[in-house]
This record gives sequence, structure tokens and C-alpha cells, in this order.
Amino acid sequence: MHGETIYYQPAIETMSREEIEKLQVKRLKETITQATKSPFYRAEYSKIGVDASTITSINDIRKLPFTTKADLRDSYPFGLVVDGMKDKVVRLHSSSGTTGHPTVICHSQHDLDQWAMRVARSLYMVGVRETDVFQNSSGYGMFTGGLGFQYGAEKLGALTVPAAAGNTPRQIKFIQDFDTTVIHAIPSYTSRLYEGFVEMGIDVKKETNLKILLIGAEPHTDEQRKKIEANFGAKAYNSFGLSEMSGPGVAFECTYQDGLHIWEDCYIVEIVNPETLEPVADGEIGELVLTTLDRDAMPIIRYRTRDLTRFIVGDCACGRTHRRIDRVKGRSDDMFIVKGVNIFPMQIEKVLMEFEQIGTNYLITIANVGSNDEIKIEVELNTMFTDDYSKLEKLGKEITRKLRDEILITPKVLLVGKNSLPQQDGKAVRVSDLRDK
Amino acid sequence: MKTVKQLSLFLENKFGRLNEILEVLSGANVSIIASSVADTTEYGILRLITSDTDTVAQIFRDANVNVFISEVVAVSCKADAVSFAAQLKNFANEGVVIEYMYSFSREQETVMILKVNDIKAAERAVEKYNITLMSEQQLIKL
Repeated sequence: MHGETIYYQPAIETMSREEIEKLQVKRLKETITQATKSPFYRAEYSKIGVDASTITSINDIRKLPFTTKADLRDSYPFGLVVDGMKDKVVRLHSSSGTTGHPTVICHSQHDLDQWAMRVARSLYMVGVRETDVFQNSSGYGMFTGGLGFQYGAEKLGALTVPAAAGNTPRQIKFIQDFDTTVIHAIPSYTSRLYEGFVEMGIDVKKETNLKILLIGAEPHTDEQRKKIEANFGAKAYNSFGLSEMSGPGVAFECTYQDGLHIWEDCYIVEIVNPETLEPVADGEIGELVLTTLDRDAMPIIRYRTRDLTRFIVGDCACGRTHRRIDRVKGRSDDMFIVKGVNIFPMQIEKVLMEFEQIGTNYLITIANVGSNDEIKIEVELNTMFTDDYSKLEKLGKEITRKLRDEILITPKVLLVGKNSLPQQDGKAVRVSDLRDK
Repeated sequence: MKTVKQLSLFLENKFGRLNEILEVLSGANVSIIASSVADTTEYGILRLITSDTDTVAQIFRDANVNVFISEVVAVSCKADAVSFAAQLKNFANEGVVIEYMYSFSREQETVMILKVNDIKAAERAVEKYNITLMSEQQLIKL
């Protein structure tokens, strides 16, 4: 029992910065020793002559090379698994490989236990308790949001409903029949789920006991979150994880909803400029780089996540000392450059969410028009709010103007009918770059 | 004053879209009394007067088509050009702005569907000049 405490593991969650760094240095040295027993790190580190003794303070981590997704692919499937651990591996997860090999992450029982602990800690942080009914409406199988949340919620002691993704009427039946109080789903699915409630004529606020939604695995804005919260009459918390770092439970929002605490006893967190690879100043956006500190079978050191975020400066009112990162601002891969300006889809989404006349679905197309690059943004009209052309035109112009203010380029905004853009089942694809390459 | 309910539908400017939208009504037993499409370069608005506005609106909503219902005025007059112009002048005399209009004729009679900026002013014109207005029921019977 944890009594009335708001912490799952108070001693760890409220450690001083000094204690955290001391623990990180100790675990980093252990991790290097363990990692260099794998073919990949043995070769890499002996080449440049680094080992555990290279590390005397936390900043010494910069003396180590980065690990990239390409490294994981090139070592497919087991090149990063520690010698002698192969027989101790009890599960692997693989990410979808759109080109060439997928990436594979191997876990020992210890690794899985630690992962479940982080998820349990994260769930507890947003108020999930053993009295709750936790419905996991996320894909199972290789997608870590399934089993990752499953084992974490079980560890916490909640009643788990492994509903998996899709089949909205069935999800709604479970929510009602089992008195589901907490649900985990990707943000775009929560919108579909809400539409399902509306179509079935069920008032989700009055006729269900839902109180907490956990949303992640797909970049989304705070405006989108607020829309989801208003629809469901429940709190929605942002979950962050990636399969290379085990999965969910890397970072999670607390009830203050001002950034995600990243568990620094389990990861060393760096944010670097994706071009120069130098650390950015606190509060500046850069690429998140993570090092595992408690993984036996397949440690990964200085992994370039491709996720763009920034540190939230200052202490959190919840009392946890593990630093906070901002919601992911997109992938460094998703960034596109038009007329020399770096643009992230999230910037565009943020602007679109301000307009109640338009829905949450949009599509960005970049194409060559003559010798120029042009951005076209199609947005779905949510309701036909007028019979007047001039009002529709005014809306289009207003969206264009606000986008221009944000991205410094004038896009071509095109209003389209409801549901006319492709509906996204999995992670939403929002950008289509048709330029000659 | 008698007014008529009109449906306005958002119409994407792409080949076959008008057809696609109207096919939604294929299973419903409704008639289209009048229609008009205007377009900008990017999208259009399809305006319809049907025999059953509420049913048709619901069918479109269920098919995820953006619909808006508004009130328009249906004016009946003789089909010759002089009568046509005279009616419009009557409204103009009372300061009524016509935002858009469309019309159809049957034998010697023309029906003008008018979207006016000011219903009260339109009502004054109707009374003063004894203009004949049509209700939905009357339009269905034409």
C-alpha cells in the first residue's frame, strides 16, 4: 500500500539533482561495461578507445558516439544484444521498417520488469490506482503500446481490459459493461471513439465512468488535447515512449499537465541541435538523445530519437525532480524546408486547432509550382456554418494569415468537405512532399 | 411572411462531386424543386429546395456532407421580362438587397428564389406592392 502519497516510488521520484546525477554516472559506467559485451558496441568503442573509465562526470557522456536507427538496422537482428544474454532474452519487439530491415529490441525478464515498473510509476502519477479499470485500446503485438501498458497496469494492480485497437462499438460496450475508468489510445483514435459515442447516442460524460485518458505515440497539440478533454469530460495525459527505449513509460505528464517527467534514474537525457549535434541551451528545441541505464540484454547509448522537444525550465509543482520535456514537436525527419524556412507540421496543426469551424484532419502537400515550392494545406470544414461565400472566403483568408504569421510563408489554404481527407487508422500521415528530389 | 427553407451544401470543386452528392438521395423519396450551383475556383455551394428539407438535411448529415439550412423568399410573377424586372424593382424600392437569386419558369409563371439581406424590409415590399409569395407546399404542387 502506498497510503495517501502521490508518488509510486517517493525515494526515486523526489531525489535531489545531485543524487540523480550520481546514480546516472554509476549506472552509465555499468551500462558501458555491459554494452561493450555486444558485437556492435565492442567494435565501435574499441575503435575510438572509450570504455567505462572514460566517464567520471555526467558530461563525459559527450565523449561517447551517438547510436542511430541506421546502426540498429545494420546490426539487425541481434548485433546489439550482449554476449551471453541471448538465452536470457524473453521477448523482442520490432518496429515497422518502411525501408530495409526493421529494428529489433530484445528484453530480458529484468528489462521487462523495469519497463513495467516505469509504466506503473507513470500511471500512478496521473492518478491511476488498483481500484481502476484500465482499458488498453492500443494495438497489441509488436507495437509496444499494447504489452507495455498491459504489464505496467497489471503491476500497479488495476483491472486491465486488453481491448486492443479498433472495433469502436465493442470498445464502447466494454467501457460501459466493465465500468472502465481509464483508457489508453492514440489521440486520433480517441476522436473516432468519441464519434462512436455520438453515433450510438450515448453521452460519454454521463453514461460512462471514464475519468482519465492516456494519449501518446502520435504527436498532438495542447489544443487537440483540450478538445479531447472537453469531448470526454475527462483528463487526458500525454504519454511518451519509443520502442528503442522499451516503449511507453519513458516520460509522462503529471497532473499539472505542464511537460512530461522523463525518468532520469532509467535514462540519461540530452537535447542536441540536430545539425551540429551540440547540446542546445535549456528551453531550446532540439533532438532528444537517450541512454538506457537499466537494460541488461540490449543497452543503447546516446540514441538519436529523431524526436524534437525541449526541456521545460524550472521545478514542477508536483514535487518530482525528474526533469520535464515538452510535448514532442514532431520528428526531425518530419521537418520540411520550404523557401529556406524550417517548418514542423505541429506548427501548422497548432494554428488550425484555433478555428472551431474546421475539424482535426488536415493534409499538407508541398509541390513544385513552376520554379517555386508551394505549400498547400487542405482542411476539413467541420460544419457548414454559413450559406455565404464571403464568410467562407474570410475563413480561408484568416487561416492563411495566421499560418503565415506562424511559418513565415504564405500557404495555399483549401477548405474541403467533412471526411474528404483520408482517415487515419494508425499514426496520421499529414505531410506529402511531391517535390522533385 | 411566407418563407421557404433552403439547403446549402459545401461542394468541393472536383470532377463528379455534384453527381456523388446527389446520389446520396437516390434511396429517398424526395423531389428537388429548385437548385443552383455557384462556384469559386476552389469550392462551390449547392443550393437546393426540396419537398422535405428536414429529411434531406438528415440524409446529408448522415453521409458526412456539410449542410446549412437558411430561409429564402419564393416570389411568383408572370414569366415576361417586364414583370420579372418590375418585381425586383419593388424590392429595391424598399431598400432590400438581393444577395443572390435563381429562378425557374413553368408555362406563363416564373418563380424567383431570393436571398434577401433584410427580411423585415422584404416584408414591407411584399405588402406594399402586393407581391405573391409561394410556400413550400405550393411549390411542391407546381
